[in-house]
Amino acid sequence: MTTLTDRYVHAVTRSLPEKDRSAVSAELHELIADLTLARVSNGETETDAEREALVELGSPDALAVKFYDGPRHLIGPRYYLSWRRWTARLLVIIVPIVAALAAFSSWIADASASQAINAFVGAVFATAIQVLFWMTLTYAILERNVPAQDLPPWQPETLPLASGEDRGQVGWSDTIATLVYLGLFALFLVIQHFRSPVRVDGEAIPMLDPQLWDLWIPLLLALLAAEAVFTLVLHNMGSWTWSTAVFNLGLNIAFAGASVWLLLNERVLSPELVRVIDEQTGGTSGQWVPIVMQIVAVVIVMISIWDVIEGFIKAREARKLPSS
Amino acid sequence: MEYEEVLKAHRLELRRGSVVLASLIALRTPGYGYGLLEQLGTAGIEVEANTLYPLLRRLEDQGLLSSDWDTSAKRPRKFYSVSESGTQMITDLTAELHDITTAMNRLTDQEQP
Repeated sequence: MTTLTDRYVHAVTRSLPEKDRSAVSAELHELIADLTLARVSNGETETDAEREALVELGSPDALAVKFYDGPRHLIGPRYYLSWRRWTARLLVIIVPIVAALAAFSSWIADASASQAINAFVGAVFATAIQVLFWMTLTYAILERNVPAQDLPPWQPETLPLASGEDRGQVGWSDTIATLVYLGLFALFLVIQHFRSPVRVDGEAIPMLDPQLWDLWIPLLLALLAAEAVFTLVLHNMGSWTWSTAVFNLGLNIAFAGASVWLLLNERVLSPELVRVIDEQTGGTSGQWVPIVMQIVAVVIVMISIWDVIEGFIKAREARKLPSS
Repeated sequence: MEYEEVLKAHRLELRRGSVVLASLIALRTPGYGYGLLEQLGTAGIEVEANTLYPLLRRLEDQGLLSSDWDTSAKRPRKFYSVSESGTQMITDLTAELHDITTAMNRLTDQEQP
């Protein structure tokens, strides 16, 4: 018959690594016996003494932790805040994009608002869980394989910009946000053709006109690559200058020019997608789709103008600083 | 936080390191875990069994203690004794403790005009 002590020792050692179990088990048995003996000689009954000795030792899980040699947390103090910050950022960027795509594709397939909302909510959950899981796993692996002293030494140059100051400077968050955005856009251009989220009768249809692959999409991808390189060069330089502002102007003209031309000439959407939209909206798409395209074109132009202006403002702000 | 809680936390921090030195000193004479527990308690070092036993394992892992099993009695009992490096550690840690006390005295003297 297993005694209370046996059950206690088992509860403690089951959480410990195999190799430590028998040694700790033997020690615990000895300790409990000694504690019990002391209590008995103080007048307690044997059963009471055993029970009280175990109470004195504390919960098995709490005791097991004291005997345990390895890391006692999934993500420790060194990495916790970083994990929290980056997971929050990724959630805020990735979840809305994916959920919006899911809702859009559902609406295209079923033209039902409730289905689209279902798809949206479902995507929010699924994407959020994925992001949380992979971020946590990555940091847990970091925690166990890259101890703090192995990290490259911290440099003051990598400090984030204080909010409101130094508008001409380029910081890590700007650069990374831009690169992520460019990456997602490029990814979208490619994925919408090969594995489009939009499905009709179970078959994926490309969202953008496949003919665009002859010239325009490669051109856009090249522009995105140029923007990525520009972003990295700018980051390396550390702050905006007149030449970077001018180069930014050129990139914006190229990108906006290409996008606007395609939109106004109704070369953007794929014929299949147009047909599907037409079906879903009862044949009226010919009237409002061009209008939507024009609105998008205007928005793109406005954003580009703002981006160019901001580039020049930052260049001017940077020149005001004493150094660089 | 209440004063008592804060006091308890800081006392714990203050005493935490001293249990190591106290155990090493006591184990210059080989002893059993439970005997050490009582010995420390009598000497004035407050420590609980569930803290002391894992600590002894750790000190043995660090090479400061050596252990053996006494199979002569009815049930086998493990006894510890301080090793050579443990003895050296006693000297070094005692000096450290002395330095701390001296520094405290210096600070206290400076405080009083």
